[in-house]
Amino acid sequence: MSGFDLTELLPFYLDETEEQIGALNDALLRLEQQPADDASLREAFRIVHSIKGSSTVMGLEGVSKLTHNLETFFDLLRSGQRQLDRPALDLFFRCLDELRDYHRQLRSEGQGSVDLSGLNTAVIAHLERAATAAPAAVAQPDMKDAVRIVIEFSPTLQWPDMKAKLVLNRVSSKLRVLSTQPPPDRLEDLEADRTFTIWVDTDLEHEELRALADAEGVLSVAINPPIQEPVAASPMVEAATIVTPFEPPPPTEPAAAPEPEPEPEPAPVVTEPTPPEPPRVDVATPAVVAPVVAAAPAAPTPPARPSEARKPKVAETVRVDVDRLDNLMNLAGELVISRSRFFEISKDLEGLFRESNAPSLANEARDRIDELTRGLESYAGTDASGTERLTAQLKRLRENFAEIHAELDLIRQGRERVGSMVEVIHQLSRVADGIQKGVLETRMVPIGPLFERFHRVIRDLKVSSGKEVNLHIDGEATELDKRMIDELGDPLIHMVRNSVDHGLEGPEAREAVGKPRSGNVWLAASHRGNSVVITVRDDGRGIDTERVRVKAVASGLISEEESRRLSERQLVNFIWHPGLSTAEKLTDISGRGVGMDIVKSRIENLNGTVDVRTELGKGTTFSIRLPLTLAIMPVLLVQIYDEVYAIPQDHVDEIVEVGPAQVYRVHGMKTTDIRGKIISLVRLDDVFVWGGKGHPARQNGALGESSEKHTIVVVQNGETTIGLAVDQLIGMQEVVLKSLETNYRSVPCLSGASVLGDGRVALILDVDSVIERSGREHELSTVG
Amino acid sequence: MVQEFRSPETSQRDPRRGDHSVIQLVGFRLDEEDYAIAITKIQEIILMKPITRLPEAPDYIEGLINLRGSVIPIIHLRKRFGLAPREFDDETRTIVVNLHDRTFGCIVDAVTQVMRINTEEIQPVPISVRAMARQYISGLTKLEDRILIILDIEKLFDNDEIQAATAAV
Repeated sequence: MSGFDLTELLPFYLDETEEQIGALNDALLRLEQQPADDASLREAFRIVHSIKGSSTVMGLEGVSKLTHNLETFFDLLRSGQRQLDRPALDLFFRCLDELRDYHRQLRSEGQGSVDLSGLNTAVIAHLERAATAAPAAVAQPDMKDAVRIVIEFSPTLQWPDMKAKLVLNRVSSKLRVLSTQPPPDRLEDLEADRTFTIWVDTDLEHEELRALADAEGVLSVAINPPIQEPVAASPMVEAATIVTPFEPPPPTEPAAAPEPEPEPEPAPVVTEPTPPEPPRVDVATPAVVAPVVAAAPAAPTPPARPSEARKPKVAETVRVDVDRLDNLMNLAGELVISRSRFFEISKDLEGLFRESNAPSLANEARDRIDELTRGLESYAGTDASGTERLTAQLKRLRENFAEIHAELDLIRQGRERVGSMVEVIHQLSRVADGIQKGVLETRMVPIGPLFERFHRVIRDLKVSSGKEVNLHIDGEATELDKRMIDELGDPLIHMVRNSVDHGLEGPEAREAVGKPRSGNVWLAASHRGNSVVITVRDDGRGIDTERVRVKAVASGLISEEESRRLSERQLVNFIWHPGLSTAEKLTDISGRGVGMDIVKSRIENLNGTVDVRTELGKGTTFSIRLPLTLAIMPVLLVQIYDEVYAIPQDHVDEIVEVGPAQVYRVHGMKTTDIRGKIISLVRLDDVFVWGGKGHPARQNGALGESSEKHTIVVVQNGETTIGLAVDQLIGMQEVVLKSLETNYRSVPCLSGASVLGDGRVALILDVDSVIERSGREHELSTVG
Repeated sequence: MVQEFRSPETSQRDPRRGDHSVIQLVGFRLDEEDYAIAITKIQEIILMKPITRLPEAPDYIEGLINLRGSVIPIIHLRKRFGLAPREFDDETRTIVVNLHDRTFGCIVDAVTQVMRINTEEIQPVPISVRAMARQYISGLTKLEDRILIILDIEKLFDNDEIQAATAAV
């Protein structure tokens, strides 16, 4: 050992490979649109090659084998010996998924236990099959009848050579075996490469052949149609296996009765355009077939490599463990808290010194003493001894005073220092802000890559649902906290899936209502104040609120009578209810919603909100609103009794004073009128239950009963506006959000807590839940 | 045997004697009764700090405090045991406990001493003590002329708010 530890390289390998898999995904998606895109092909080749290289170094055999074969495949595509068809693309995407799973597992568990060998076999089989298919497509009716049986043995099978011999015996007892690979005398080669190929002359059905070749320990049996000498295949076979060149099997054999091909099974795939992407194969075919027929293994490589030049410039980056950033973030948060404490202390100090006019008082006192001394001296004649004593006393007093004066000078100096300290604190707070902002920025990443994943999601959905879907992406450059982006993936996929599965209609249904055949899904992100808003919109059928209502009543969530009073918007919101949204059959009724409650709770865990708007027949829009970062939020601090609450500024509309005469009762609920708009009023402490009662410190009467004016913070959640009555406003501040769940549990209507400048804990209101609760619990106002 | 604990470096077991059956406890007083918790569960003992009231919580959750930047809940042990609350005074302390990765504080009337107890001297709880209380009392022992109640803090908060953390919505 050279002391070179591979495990240390693993994180780098994983990061790099993860990126490459992402890039490969992009390249494949481009190829799906434009199969003849040379640049993308070369890029795919390059990436696969590079993954192969690094995985070989890391000793990840499964990955290197698979990528090796993929590389061969792309090489053929690149050189024009093969064309990219639908099955091949599907296979590539499957490989991509498995590679991703493998590496994900490698990262989380230290080893990848995803078995890639099955896929590897599929790739090899596909390579061979398609290689032979191309000539077949050119149609050579006189082709002879050798059938190739490719058997893949399980990697765990012991003595595969024995097994192969067994299979070979069985096959040869029924059929004429033309050739095998490895040859019968080299079967031990199977120990290393577990693919066994038998060429037979037969007209048996493929199923029968398969049954004949199948045995315990056999992973897969692939039957290929008859072939001629596979020129194009040789580099591939070499790539796929460790095989030595073998005698060209079937072509030398005299053609047996030339029968029609047994089954057109895999052969036509190359030329058969699949419906969703009709044009490309047609275009590609003539150009590509030619070199194959010419059997030119060394197809002209493209003259230049413009793809290298086209690659966007990569910014210089350093990879940092997110946990380290989290830690830094917390420290920056503490720094900001310390800063505000400093600020308060310095303000107090300034106040203290400003009020002190000790020096001038001292001067005045000294002048008085001087005057007294002089006065006494003029009396000197009358009572010498008495005045002498007094004079001595006064003299001492004067000396004392001189000392005090000197001390006072120290105070004066201190005062000056405080002045300069305040200046330094101001500077410190600028730096603290800068650090905080800088740390925040390091965590901010554009949402683009997350959105890009959806091309693939939509692609898969298109295939599985048979619907035509266009994906539109907007605002890729919008930046969000990395942690948040990581957490957003699943809920977003869920919502997009819902939009396609349940929102969008099929092409015919769309045509019937006069919409274009293909549906649209929009993914967009944008900044709005201190939040980021992400929308998932579709132009499908929308949510049928009537059906939601019926279902909500049926599942006992609400009474029939109550349900009739609800607005459309309120009804739509039932889709978030677990009882409604998780039940599978609900999908039919609400038109969407498997697990929408989970989506909602995930978003809420990120301190975000999610909202849905729908128009029957026109489409549905989900909006997710998230704070820019998980950690810091600007808030309005208010006081109620002894406690300080923080209200996120995003939700604060305005602050008003309301006199008792402006508080109206509507059906027992306190309301007031803000410039013509009637809103509910709730005392902040009445939002909560305090051990089954009102707030323990509560004494005086309810809102509107005392003669004083109330300070009302008007808050909204984009939908509803309510007024929260507080005792006192403290001010605006940025606070570091601390989860209550770390040491306790989540508390309704609170999104967390924060430590204030004076070291006390303030509770951070979750305005959305507060509004929701105030709307639901009519008894709230009766407490107040 | 009970003795004053002097050297904080000594761990729960006394290495010199190799005696496995001695445990260290932190003693505290609640309503004139003597209690103790295993020292291994205790992070620190702090003076009273300003407590922020927490809504939507059982009444024995006194509120939240800031412990060097962490926000931790504070449990009023008197209220937890159904004893009448008492004004905090100079003796009142908060014992900060670590349990299952969570940190919380328990308010006690006073912290008395750190002591070593031989496990052989711990007696089971008599049957007359309420069944519920018997679950979280791991045993009794004689402390000079008084009875020391040894709490199993883990059981005390087992089915509790602190533990039922995520269950609540």
